[in-house]
Amino acid sequence: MTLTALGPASVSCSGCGMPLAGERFNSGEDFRCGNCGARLGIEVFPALFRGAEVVRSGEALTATGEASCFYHPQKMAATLCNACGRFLCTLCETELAGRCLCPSCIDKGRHNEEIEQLVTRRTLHDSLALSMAILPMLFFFVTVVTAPIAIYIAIHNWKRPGSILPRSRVRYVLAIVIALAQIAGWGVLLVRLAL
Amino acid sequence: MKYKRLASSRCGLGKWHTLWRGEDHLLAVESNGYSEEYARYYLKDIQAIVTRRSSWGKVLNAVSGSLVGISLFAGIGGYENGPSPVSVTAGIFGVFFLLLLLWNLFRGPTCYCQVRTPVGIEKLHALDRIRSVRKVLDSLRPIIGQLQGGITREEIIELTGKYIDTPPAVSPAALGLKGAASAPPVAENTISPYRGGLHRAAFLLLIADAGLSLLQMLHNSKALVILSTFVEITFLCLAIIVLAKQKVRPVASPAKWLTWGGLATMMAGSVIGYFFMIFLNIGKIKPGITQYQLFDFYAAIEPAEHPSFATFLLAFAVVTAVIGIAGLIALGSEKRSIERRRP
Repeated sequence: MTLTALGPASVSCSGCGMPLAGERFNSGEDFRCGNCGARLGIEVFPALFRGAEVVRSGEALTATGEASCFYHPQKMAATLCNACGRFLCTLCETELAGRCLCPSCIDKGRHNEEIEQLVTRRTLHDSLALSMAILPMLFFFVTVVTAPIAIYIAIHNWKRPGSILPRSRVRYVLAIVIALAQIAGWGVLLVRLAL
Repeated sequence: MKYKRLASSRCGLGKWHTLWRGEDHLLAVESNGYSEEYARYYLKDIQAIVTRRSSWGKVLNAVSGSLVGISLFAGIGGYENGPSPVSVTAGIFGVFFLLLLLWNLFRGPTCYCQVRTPVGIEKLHALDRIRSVRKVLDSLRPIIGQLQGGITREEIIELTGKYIDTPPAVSPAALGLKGAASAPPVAENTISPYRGGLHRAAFLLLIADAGLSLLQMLHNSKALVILSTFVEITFLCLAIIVLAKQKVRPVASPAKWLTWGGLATMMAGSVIGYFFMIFLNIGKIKPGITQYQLFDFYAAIEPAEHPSFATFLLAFAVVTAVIGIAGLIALGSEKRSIERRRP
């Protein structure tokens, strides 16, 4: 592999921003920045010295009857979108999650949260339901309202995508069980009052 | 997608950061318990991982160690004719701070960690201990090596050799340093040093407060309590400004963590002082009591009659004085080192 310093191949001190000498990198030992004295440890990888990737603009159509890109009719199609089947030129194709996708499918996937690699935020409905079931117990009378809400949150969001990290549905189950117990408690209390 | 947890760290109240390894990327997760935010760093794009040691661990050690000491003094002082509420409370606090100290010592030195990719430099909040950074690097090195290929130290030296880490002969803006472009022009192409005036004022206030605490120990009075409260409030206000200042201007590392230590000591002292005011006037405090009356009660506590209170004042005075004097020494040595570097 040939490495070239096409880009700014220096690494700076994260304390003062001073560029650092490469002889101290990847040594496995800390060293002091000559400017601010901060103790640094730096590990660099070959990507630091790799130049920017060349973007292929797509080849122009040379003969009539050749398949053209859906988004650039004057460019030659190079591949198909794996999601919608549209012809794509080399400029439009994007590889994501092992599939070749067109810009509109990526946009749709991000909007619908279908492509996990594009998810940047998730709400943890299971934690919300569990908190709604447990925290109001500090003021027990509130649970008459919050217990049904906790059950609603748990059932309504049961199938909605939660965290992208490994996580079971145990919080949903606990929220439902605790909320049901609270409702049962209220039921018993009302029956006793009625009697 | 399968993720393997690499590191985690709690940062602030109700917020924590975790770092996970996916098939081809690192996933940094910021969570508040009810939602998660994700940032992905693809292993093929990672250019460098930079760690810088921080003083947080030392500050936490100093603060928790001081609090263990204060609790010990207060506990011994409060143990007059058998266990008293003061000695029991001090004992509970002491054990808590001791466990905190041991836990912090076990986790090792703290650091800031950054990852550099072609689109920018990001802080990895989950990696805040040197030990966890090394562990993560050991696990990532072979995988990144497979994706990016290898690189020898000679190649690194050859490709980065033109940069040296000595004070700049040209302005930071010319080197393209972050924030330098927006900074006002400085004379003679040098970074203007912060002379530490505000830090010095904060440390002097700490020493003054130590003196007032010693005077209070000899004879408590309303005037002394008012004066020390004024000094403490001034210090707290100044500490906020100083902490904001040291975030953006270069300040000697010991001075930085001593400022944090001073702030923590002052806050802990206020809380413990408040507890003393409650415990030593427990019979007089009734519902509907005003803050002014509480203040009167505090001024009326005579240290000679309450050895635990006298011990607390002495311990507080010693700790604040030590921090104040150490801070002034750190600023002095920083000033001398700047003068030595000046051509």
